[in-house]
Amino acid sequence: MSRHDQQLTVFIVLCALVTLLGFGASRWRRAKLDHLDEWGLAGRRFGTVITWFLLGGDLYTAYTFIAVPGLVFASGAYGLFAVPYTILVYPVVFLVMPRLWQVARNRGYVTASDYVKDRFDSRFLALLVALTGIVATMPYIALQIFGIRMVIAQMGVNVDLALVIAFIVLAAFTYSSGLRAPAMIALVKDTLIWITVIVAVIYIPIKLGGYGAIFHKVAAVEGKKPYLTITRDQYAAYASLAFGSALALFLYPHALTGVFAAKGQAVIRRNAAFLPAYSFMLGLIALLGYMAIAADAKPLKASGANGAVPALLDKMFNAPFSGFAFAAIAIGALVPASVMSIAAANLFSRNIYREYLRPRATSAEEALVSKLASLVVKFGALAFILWAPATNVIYFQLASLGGDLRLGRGHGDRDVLARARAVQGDDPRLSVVRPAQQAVHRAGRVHGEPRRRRGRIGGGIRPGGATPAGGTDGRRLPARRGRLKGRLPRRSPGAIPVSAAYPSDRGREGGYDRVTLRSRRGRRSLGEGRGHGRGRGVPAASAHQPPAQAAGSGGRPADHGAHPHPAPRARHHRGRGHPPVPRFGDPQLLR
Amino acid sequence: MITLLLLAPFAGLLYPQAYAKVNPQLSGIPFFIWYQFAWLIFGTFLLVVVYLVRGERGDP
Repeated sequence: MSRHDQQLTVFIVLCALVTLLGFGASRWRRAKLDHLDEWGLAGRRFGTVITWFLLGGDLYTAYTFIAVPGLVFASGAYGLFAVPYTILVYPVVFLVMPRLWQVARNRGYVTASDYVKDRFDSRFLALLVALTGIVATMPYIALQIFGIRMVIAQMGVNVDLALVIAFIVLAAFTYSSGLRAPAMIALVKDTLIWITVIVAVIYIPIKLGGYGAIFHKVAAVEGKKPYLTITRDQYAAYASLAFGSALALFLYPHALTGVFAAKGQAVIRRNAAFLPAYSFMLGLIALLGYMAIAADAKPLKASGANGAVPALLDKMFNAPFSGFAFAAIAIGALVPASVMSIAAANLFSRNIYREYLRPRATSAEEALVSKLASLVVKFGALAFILWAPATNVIYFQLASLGGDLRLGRGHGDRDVLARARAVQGDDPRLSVVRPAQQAVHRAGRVHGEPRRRRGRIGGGIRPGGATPAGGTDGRRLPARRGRLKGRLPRRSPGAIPVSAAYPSDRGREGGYDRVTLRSRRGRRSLGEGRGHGRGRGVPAASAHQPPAQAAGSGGRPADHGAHPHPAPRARHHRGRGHPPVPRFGDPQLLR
Repeated sequence: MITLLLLAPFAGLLYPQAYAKVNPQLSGIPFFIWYQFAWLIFGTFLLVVVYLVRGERGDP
């Protein structure tokens, strides 16, 4: 067998294994896949380990394996901006995402756009966010295909044909298994990638005479250019690229999809603390760009600098292991491509199709539209790669990498982020919505109420607004208003749309109930709710739980051992004779 | 309060003027590169510390 054949054999075997896994994933934690929560978020049941693999597999894409080292190969240390970028992203995730997850879980949000619609009470803003998400995701998927193309080309195969096959397979298992497929494949992907990277960063430097020798050679080859550090005129770009990308990363639809699929706040916090392991990997992969220079690897002409890593691997490793490494990269690109197409499809089905085209769509119809949209998104990206002029592809890739245009990186997302951040900068942060959230729980009881209300809590402040809490709970709200005002910044009461109290899928009976029912069944670990860490207050989502249930599952706070929770219940009962509903204006909820 | 530790990586990394140089090298690795790798490790360490100290608490 020729070298190419050996590489190809290993490559095809691994890809076939992954394909089987992808189709088999639909049986994993089996559920009816005709609901968006199941198809698009895998039932929101992923624990810490699966989420770690899924997010790691989802965020560290062909961008990491191909584009970043390609940039280092082409322009030196400047390409290392991805290192501070992926360091800085996790403090942000640690602080922001658990809250967002909680709100999303409580209200049944599937996309960022769902959140924006309720939080800012603006369908238009939500539409813009959805469109931005879809538009930003497409070139990012194209970048994944581009990465696959790089390794296939290195093996001397008919590129277009191979790409088409790869994408039919990808589309098929994404369609049939939803988010379960990439989550399961991510386990394989990350194993392959970790093996490849660890072997590469140990074996290649040994062959090249050590890291010192590598950098020495780089300095010798490119004596004048700033290959080992950045120059004065790059400082501002370097810092702003790192900072901006760190803020933007988790607003990508596919990142949020991975976050929302987690089963608890704690899962996300742990992941924020342990995902940086992948950032370390990214840093090592970036160094492969230097190794490619030192080893004098010659990328294929058609590939340009982005072919640096495949060329390096091909040059340094024997045929079977280089085939293994190529498979790792290709599978590494399939996982994010799959999650991205799911995320973009969810944006379309939830925030465009049902919001504007068919408000009465059932959840099964919504899920079906999502599945079909995922096909369209993927093949759109594929068509783009196959037929767009090659120079443009490079351009898109550079844009995605955070070049001047930043086409693929979601400017709009960042604007929204800025707004969200401005809001969160005040004390109540995301929990501003919490009072409204409880209103949902009460509204759940007065179910006959009209669903569409555009008034605002603390109404009367606004002319023509609803009476205070008109749509929610006339009994208790007015009495609490003084206290509420005392705890929130001045503008906040007016900033809580009552419509936010309703599930994003208002107009569909039972949409929200499904979520509360779930917590009624106790599937959610109450230990992950807010406030439990301090042993007081009851997480809003548990508000509906009958006392018995609350005692049953609420008795295991995740962090502070296993003391049961009588105190909060007693506190919230206060002789009212109803289950522990956190009261409006409860300081715990407003914090 | 402990959460403020998470600001440290921002301070350490968003001012490249401070670390954009080749020397001092660490066994041949330019300062620019090993400094950032050091932050990778130290930043992760800070996150883990904050996580462990705060537990599952939601509020900063």
